[in-house]
Formats: sequence, structure tokens, C-alpha cells
Amino acid sequence: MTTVLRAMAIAVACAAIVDPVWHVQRPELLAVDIQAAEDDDARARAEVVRAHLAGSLRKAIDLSGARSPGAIVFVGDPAERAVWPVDVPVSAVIPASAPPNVRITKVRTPDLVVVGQAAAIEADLEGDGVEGQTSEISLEDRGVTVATATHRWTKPQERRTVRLSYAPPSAGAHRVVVRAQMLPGERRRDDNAADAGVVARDRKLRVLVHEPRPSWNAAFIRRTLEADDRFRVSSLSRASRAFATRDASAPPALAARPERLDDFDVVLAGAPEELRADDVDALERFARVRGGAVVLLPDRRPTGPYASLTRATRFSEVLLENPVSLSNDIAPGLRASELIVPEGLSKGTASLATITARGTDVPVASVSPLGDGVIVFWGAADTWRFRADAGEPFARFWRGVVADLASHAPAPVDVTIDPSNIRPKEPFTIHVKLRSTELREEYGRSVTPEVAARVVSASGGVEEVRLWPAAEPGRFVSHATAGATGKYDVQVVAGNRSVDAVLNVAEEAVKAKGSDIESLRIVADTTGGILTTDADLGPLETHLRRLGTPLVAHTLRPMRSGWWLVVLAACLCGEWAVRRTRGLS
Amino acid sequence: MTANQRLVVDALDGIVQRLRVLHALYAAAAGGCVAAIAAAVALVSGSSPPAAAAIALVLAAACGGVVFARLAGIRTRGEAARLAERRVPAFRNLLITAAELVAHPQRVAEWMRERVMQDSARMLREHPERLQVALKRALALCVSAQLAWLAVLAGIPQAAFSTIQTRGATVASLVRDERGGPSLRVVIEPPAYTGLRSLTLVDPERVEAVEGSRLRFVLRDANARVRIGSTALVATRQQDATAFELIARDSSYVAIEPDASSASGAARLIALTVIPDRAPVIRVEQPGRDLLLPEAAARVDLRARATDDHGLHALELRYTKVSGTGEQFEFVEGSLPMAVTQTSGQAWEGTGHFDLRALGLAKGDSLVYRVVARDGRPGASGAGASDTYFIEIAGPGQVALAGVDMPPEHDRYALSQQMIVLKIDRLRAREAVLDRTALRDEAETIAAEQRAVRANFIFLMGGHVEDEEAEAEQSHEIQEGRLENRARRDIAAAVRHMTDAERGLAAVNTAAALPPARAAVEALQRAFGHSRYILRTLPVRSRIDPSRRLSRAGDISGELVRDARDASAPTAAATARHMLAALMSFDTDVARNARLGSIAEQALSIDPTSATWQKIARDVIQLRDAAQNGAPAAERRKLLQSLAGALTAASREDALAQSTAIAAPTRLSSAWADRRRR
Repeated sequence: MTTVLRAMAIAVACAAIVDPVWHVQRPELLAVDIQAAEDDDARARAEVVRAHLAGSLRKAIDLSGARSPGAIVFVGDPAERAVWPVDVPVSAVIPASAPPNVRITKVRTPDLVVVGQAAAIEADLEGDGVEGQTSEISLEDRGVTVATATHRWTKPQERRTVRLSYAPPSAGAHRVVVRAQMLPGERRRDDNAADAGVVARDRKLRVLVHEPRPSWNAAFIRRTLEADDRFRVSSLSRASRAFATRDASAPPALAARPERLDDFDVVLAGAPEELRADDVDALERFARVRGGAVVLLPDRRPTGPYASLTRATRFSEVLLENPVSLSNDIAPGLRASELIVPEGLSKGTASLATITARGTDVPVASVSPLGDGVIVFWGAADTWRFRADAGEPFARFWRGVVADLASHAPAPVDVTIDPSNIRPKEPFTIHVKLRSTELREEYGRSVTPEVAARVVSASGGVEEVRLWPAAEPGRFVSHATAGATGKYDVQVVAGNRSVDAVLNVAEEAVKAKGSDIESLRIVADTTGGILTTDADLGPLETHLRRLGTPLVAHTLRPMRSGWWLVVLAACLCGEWAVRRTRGLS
Repeated sequence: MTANQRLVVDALDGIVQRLRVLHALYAAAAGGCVAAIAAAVALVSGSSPPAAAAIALVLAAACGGVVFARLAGIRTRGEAARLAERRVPAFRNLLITAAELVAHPQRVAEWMRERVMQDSARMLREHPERLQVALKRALALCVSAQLAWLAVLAGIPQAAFSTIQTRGATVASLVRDERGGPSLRVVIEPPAYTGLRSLTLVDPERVEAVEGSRLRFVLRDANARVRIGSTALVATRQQDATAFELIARDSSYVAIEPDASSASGAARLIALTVIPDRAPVIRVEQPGRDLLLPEAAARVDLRARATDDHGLHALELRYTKVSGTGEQFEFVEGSLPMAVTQTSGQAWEGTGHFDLRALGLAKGDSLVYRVVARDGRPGASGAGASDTYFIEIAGPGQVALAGVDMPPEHDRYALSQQMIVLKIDRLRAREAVLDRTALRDEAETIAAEQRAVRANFIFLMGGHVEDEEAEAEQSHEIQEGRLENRARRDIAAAVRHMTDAERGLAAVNTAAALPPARAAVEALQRAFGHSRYILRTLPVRSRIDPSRRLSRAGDISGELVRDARDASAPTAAATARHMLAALMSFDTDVARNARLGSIAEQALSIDPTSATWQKIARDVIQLRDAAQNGAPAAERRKLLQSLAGALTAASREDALAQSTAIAAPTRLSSAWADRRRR
């Protein structure tokens, strides 16, 4: 007996020294994390979802939040979540649409416009059960309707983007409201309006018209722009090898100091076949690095170095006996009869103007990205001939196009706030973009100037904001939460440049209520979750049940249990007691 | 025919005769009414009184004839009998039967016919007075209608209407004055030459007046101030009112500012639309084209038509006889009378003729003519001229059929340096009496002509020489001794002098322009005198190398720095944006009335004649008054919305549209596009 007890004690001691490890998998309850967006409505809806799941899946899920989640259920606007876990299924619960209902799901505005430019504001609408009815969508500035559009719904479930035009009357940040008229029978009102912010700058659009030889096309476009005080036009026209006429502000040569082009937003190149290779390099740098727009205005089939800037594989010249209308969305009625049609345009190239030939739209003008800028190829060589047509489509088109291109040309430092009109305590994001010309290369690395941001309230209170580098060089981002009602000046200092943006915090700010379903669907699809509505949580229950009780891996070290001490002590004590009862010492 | 039957027939014929007279009177009355309407319409549409009378008479005759003819059916014995039966029921159809038996005696036996005739005759004798047809009313109607159209032609109703309107306005003014209400009267006195009557407006919202009218603003407020735009008008104190006078020249607005101590201290704005008095428009209808005649023996008849909005004062034919060759032209000016007849209220026709032999035209000479008309305005502002036409007498070597058109590419105006000199000389003579603007306009016109002459010479010479050596390498012209040709040097010198003259004209300095212009003539004369250089180069124009045109001398550096172009003044749309921005800032503080007043003035100053801008100004004032009078916020909000809507629409006129094709590229999309391109 004593031998046995002694052996057991020795065995326990040896096992404790060895400390063996066992790996086992055990089934456990699914930990579900119910997250809500930072607004009261979303939080309330999240609580409803929580209560429902707690009741129906009491024995299948764990809502305590004590463990890392095995599934996430998100309730609210996904725009407030920039990062999602990739290894956990994310399901989303969106508000149920009670038909008939029309809701504004998103409003997009241009980053920046100039005063006198009509900003194209796009509103995404979703119609549910309103087939056959017509919605009137209006755009309001301080309660005054400034633009309207109508849409007739033709399907039971339909999504539609409506374009509204808004010309800010003055420089600064303007809050506009997109409003969809309530339809008969519609009960939900709060998703029929959404705020948008339009920032307008009162600045001259800088345009360089470069003509290596005199060109009618460029000359008449230049005159059109010169007649409008929103443009500041510089020009160089080379009449012969040794003679040129230029403005004092125009660089005498493109290639001599390419960085001089950085002062311009748009460069119009007439007779581009006369451009030398180094001129073309300067224009390419202007587009790629400065982010400007280069408009090529040929009057003959493209040849020479500049042809590499176009995205076409070949060109065909078309001379028409009678002029044809060029379809475009700026100035209907624009006509031309001498066309240089680019063919084989590469993907990513947009059509600025088209003609209809044999029932198909053939682009004669294209816009293609190049670095941070764009290259515009204008293949209608004689639109200037029809500049006196009724309504002056030639002037309207070129002023619109050049202004649009110029307004897209980035400033040295761009600051945008998303969203710029919010309620108190709502989150917002500050995006800072430094133009590539502001970065410098050192030892093969991009070096950015020092960037700092702060939010200044109307009362003078200052709050420093931390900017985090984003994925791209020269991009910074900061997430913050709005304070009390009022206007805030977001000041960003980058090197020796200072830029301001306005954050408007108001109780009456209205966000697009409809969540961006598509982005939620992508998140759900890619992570293995589902998308459902709070009126029908059945699919969510099924989904969570299907995820099942996961087998959780456990690492067991049995010898680390304190009970072994008891066993050891018992063995030793038993062995001692046996020996004492036998009279042994 | 028995005696009874004769009596019945005579009685019926008498009635028919009276009916004829009655119908004639009705026809004349209808014609008179039509004539009155036609005359009124013709006068309103601008016809002269004689023309209106003629139109009225024709229409009246036509209408009267139609009426008389249409009534012919009731001028028969049967109808006469029916009329008599209606007048005397006691006939009991006896007279109708008698009339029928007169027409168809064979229908009854003779004794029966005689019995009917006998009874009818008896009845006719018993009631002779009842068978009369009354003509008095018709006669009165006829006379009234005739008087009406004559009165319209004489302008009596129009004058009466105008008088009633004026007196009514005056009475209304007095009534308002007594009530203590608005007390503004605007008396418009058009220029005398227009023949328009004076007009008095009471509390008008806008005033329309012919250019040159004298406007008198009469205000009861003794301390009120009136300004047109920013220019204050001088007040004239009257017995119980204050008057301000101005001559209407340009459309603008009138601001009436009450006394500062007045309770309603806001300015009142009145849009002033000045209707310009257009210069006469003249069109040469015969021959209405240029003529190239084989000899100067012909007589050329002319007919011109002129129109003017208020009346033509004079019409004459002016000509310039151009004789000579090369640069030694001589110009003789003159005028010929025209026989003028007025064809309507605002149109005249003039006829005249050229006797080419009497004018002393020789072969190769030209006659440049135009018809000039002037309305009643004093000074040169009321003058208008027709297009200029040529009559050229074929020169040696020219073959012309009588009266054929000159080829269109022919230089119609035959500008030459000599003509430029003549024009500068004349401008210098008138310089002292011209105002600065007119002088600058005329100098610029001559400068443009000088530029055209200079361009012709430069074109003929193949441009200036950029690089003499390159020129020598590439052309045959040096080999031909062209550059050694003294004529070319003279022409080059002439071109330089022309440039100097043009500069002088551009600087509105005729004293500086005249000497180089004359020097250019002399240089050209030397050139022509030496070797007729231009005539010899014309046949070999094909040698001129177009690629070397528009070049310049090699001793000048190769760059011209021009001034940046000034954009045009801010557009109405830009101003609308500024106004909208200013107005929107009143969203919560609409009571700042002074700013609203200035916004209203700004609106009117954009285009005082535009109904849109007048409405905007009116709405701004209404908004101001609503704020001042403590109108409910909802009402003010509604006004503000309406106003902002109108301004938004105006501001969109020149808004720069955006294209869906243009978007700021992302670096990812650019990299992808780059990749695709490779």
C-alpha cells in the first residue's frame, strides 16, 4: 500500500514538473456584438434588435460583450464606420421601408465650385411602392427653392439619381437642402430631406492658351474666355519661328520652366501638332503632377509627340457638308462640320461630346485621367465657325467646360469636411490633400511639409485636431465630433500655406436618412453577413443560428490545477499514516 | 287697268319708293360706321389722314353697297303690301290680295279682281297717312355715322380722349392731394417736333417718355429730394409744391427721397424708360445696286424710301465724284434735290435723277452716292443715310454693258490714302465742335480705314521682310532687283507713314495723324511715278510665299508682349448674384431698410427698361415696406422667397454649367488608365 501511495505521489510530482499541454475544441455560444451608429435613432433601433435577439436566440448567442465577437450586427449609417473587421461576419439592419415611401439615400456635391458656376448636386432616391407616381425634388437654399426636378417612378422598387443645379450667389460654405415632395399615402417624413454643403470660392480661373502656331479654334475660345470676368486668361501665340505674341503672365516657353505652369488651372493647346517633345513633357507634368487639365485643340489629324497624350489608338478625319450637333450636357446646339474622331479610346476615358452616326454615339471629344489631372481631346475642329448660333452655344460650352476643368484642378492644399453640415455631437471627418507639387522627393521618399489642423469656434475657442496620414502620400485624415451649435472654422496649416473650411453645426441639419445600402451590402457580402430590415429580423436570426455554436480551441494544462497538491498531500499523508499504523517510523 | 287698280298700284309703288330711300339711308349709315372704324384703325396703324380717308371711303362704299343690295328683296310691291297690312290691320289681307292680283291678274275672274281693287282703293283712301314710311330716324342715323367717321379723321375723338385722360388724372391728383395721400405728378412734355401731346401721370410706378422729353416731377413734399441715378435734380419751389425737371436722355430710374424728418423715410423708385428717337431709315430702291456704265451719257433715275418714327424733316441725295487715277484722285462733293412725297404717317418717298453728263464724269471716273434724311431733331443726331452705291464709268480697257452690276469683289469704297488725308482734314476742321466721344468714334473709324489701306499695300508686297538673308536664299525677288527698286522703298516708307498716321488717329490726335498721312500719299506718288511697281507685281502675285506673310523686319526682337485683356463689365447675372447674396443675408433681419432700398436701385440700374428688373425692384420695395409696416413674418418670408426666386433665375443666365464627363480623377483611376494604355 505504502508503495502504491508513494508511487502515486512521485508520479504527481513528476507530472507537475513535466507540466503537459493538451489542445481541445469545445462548442460555445456565439458572441454577437450589436453596434449602433452615433445617433439616437440608430441606438434606439439597436436596442430593439438586441431585445429581439436576446429573446429568440437566448440559448444560441452571447450578447454580453465579454468575449471577442463571432458576429457583428450593425444598425445605422455605414458612412460613419471607415474600418470593418474582415474576419467576422458583419450583418446590417437597415430601417424598414414602409411603402409607399420615397427616401433620399445620398446627396453628392462637388468639392468646390467658383461663384458663377452652377454646381451639379446629385441626389440618390429610392422609391418603394410608388410606381406610377411622380416625385418633385427641390433644392432649397435658406428656405428658398432654387432648383426643381421631377421623376416618374416606373417600378415597384426603383433607385434613381436626380441632378439639380445650384449656383451659389456668393463665396463661402452654403447649406442646401434636397427635398422630395411627400407622395399620397407616404407616412415617413424624415427621409424625404437631406442636407448638402456646397463650398464656393470667388477666385479667377487661371487659363493659359498656348498656340505654337495661330489656331482659329484656340483663338476664338480664348476670346470667349477673355470676355468673361470669371477667367484670367494668359496666352501665347507664335506666329512664326521668331515671332510670338504673349501676355506678360504667360510663360514664353512651356518647356523652359515647367513649374511656371503650376499657376494655371487649365492649359489650352491650339495646333498641338506643333508642340515639341519637351513641350509635351511639360504638359504631361502639368496634368500628372500639378493636377491641371490640358485641352488639346487640333485642327488636323494628330501627329507628333502630343499624340501620346491622347488615349486613342487612331484618328479619322470626317468632313461633313452640313454641320451636325454635338451631344453634350453643357450647351445643346453646339455644331461642327470638321471632325477628328478618336478611335480605340482606352477604358477610363469619358466622352465630353458625341455625334450620332448610324444610330450609335461616336465620341469626338474625350476626357481621360492622367495622374492627378486630365487630358481633354477636342476633335471638333470648327465649332468656332458656329459661334454666333442662337443662344451662343460655343461660348456657353467652352466657358462651362473650362470652368469645370479649372474647378477640379486641385489647390496646393485642399481641405474638405465630410459632412460639413451636422448636428451637435455628430462625428465628422476632415480630409486634407496636399497637391503633388507640394511634396518633395528626398532620397527616394516623398516628404510632406508639416501639416497641422485646428477647429476654431465662433467664440474664439480653439481645439487642436490630430491629423493622421492616409494611405496615399500627401493625404491626411482626422475624425472628430462636433461641439455645440454654431459655425466652426477648420484651419489647416501646411508648410507656409493656410487653408480654411467651414463646419456648420446646427440642430436642424438633416442627414440623408436612407443608409447607403450598397456599401452595406458589400460589407455584408464580403464578410459573410447579411442585410436585412428591422421589420424582418427573421433572416438575421436564421443567419446567426446558421453560424451555430462555434468550437472554440482550448489549451489545457491539467497539472496546473491546485487539486494536484491535495492529491499529492493525500498520497503522502496516506503513505505516512499506513506506515505509522504498521508501527513503522 | 281700271282707276281702282291704278290707285292701288300707285300706292304700292309709292311705298316701294320710300323703302328705297330708307334702305339707302341705312346703307349710308352702315358705311359711315365702317368708315369710322376703318379710319380709326388706319390712323392707329400709322397711316396718314388722306390714306385713312381713302381706305375709309372704299370700305364704306363697299359696305353700303352690300347692305343696299341685301335689302333689295324687300323693295317689292308684295312686301310693300305686307308693310301696309302691318300698319293698317283693317285691310285684312285685302291689299296683299290686290298686290297678288296686280302681279297675276289671270288668277281670278275680272269682276272679282275689280271688286278687290275697288275695296282696296277705298281702304287706301281712308288711311293715307298710315301708309307713309318714316325716314327721320334713318336720316339721323346716316348723318351721325357720316359725322362720326369725319370726326375720327379729324382726330376729334382722340383729342377728346386725351383731354379727358389728362383732366381725369389732374382731378384724381387733386382728390388725392386733398386726402393727403400720395402726391406725385409727372408731367411729360415730348419734344415739339414729335407732335405728341403732353401727358400728366399721377403716382406712376414707371414713366415712359420719348428721348428728349422734358419731365417735371411735382411733389407736395417741400423738402423732398429727387435724383436720377446718383445725380440729384435741382428743385424749383412753387406755391404749394416742389418741382424737379429733367430732360429724358437715357433709361434710368428716379429716386424720390422724402424729407429726412418724414415718418416714411424710404426712397421711392420710379423706372424711367426712354424711348429712343430712331434716326430715319433710308433704302435706295432704284437702282438699288452699283452700276458700271460704258459712258457718261446716261440719265440714272433714283427712288428712295425713308421711314422715321416721328416724322421726316429733310431728304436729300449726296454724292462724291471721284476722278483721277492711282493715288491722285480728286473728290468733289455735292448734293441734288429730291422730290419728296409722304406715303403714310411715317414713310416718305423721294425721287430724283443723276445727269451724268452734267456732272462732268469722264471715263474711269466714279460717282459715289447715298441718300441722307434727317428728322426734326436739332443737330446731327437725327440724320440717317442709306447704303452707299457706286456708278462707275468704264475706263480704257474695261468692257461694260450698260448698267450691269459691278462685280461684288470689286473694292466698293475705293479707299485710298488720298481719301484718308481728306477725311482727317475734314475731321480736324470739325474737331472744335465735336464732343470727345464723337471725335474718338470718328477718329477710330478713319484709323480702321487707314489700317485697311495699309493692309492692302502690305498684302501686295508680300509682307514685311523678317530675315533678309533667308529671303535672299529662298526668293527670286532679289535677283530681280526687287529690293534695289526704289519704288519698293517708297512703298515701304508709305506703309511706315500709314502706321504713324494710324497711331495718331488711335490717340485721337488728328494733328499728329495728318502729316504722316500726307507723307504716305507723297511716298506712294513717288512709287507710282517711278516704276508703277504695284501694277507690275500684281500679275506675279503667285510668287508671293504665303508662309512668310505676317512676318516682320529682322531688326526687331521676336516677341510682342500684349496687355492682358480686360473682361467686360460684370453682367446682369453677376449683379443678380450679388443682390441675391445681399438679400439672403436679410433672412432674419429684414428690417434694414436702407440696404433694401439700395438693392432696389441696383436692380433698376441694371436695365430700367426691363419688365423683369422693374418687377424685382418693385418687389424689393414691397419687401422693405412690409418690413417697415410690421407685416407678419410669414408675409415677409413669402415676399423674400418670390424675390429670391426671380433673382436666382436672373443669376442663372450666365451660370457656368458642369459636365458629367468631367470629374477629378483619383490616383487609382489614373494608374489604372495608365496601365490600360500600356
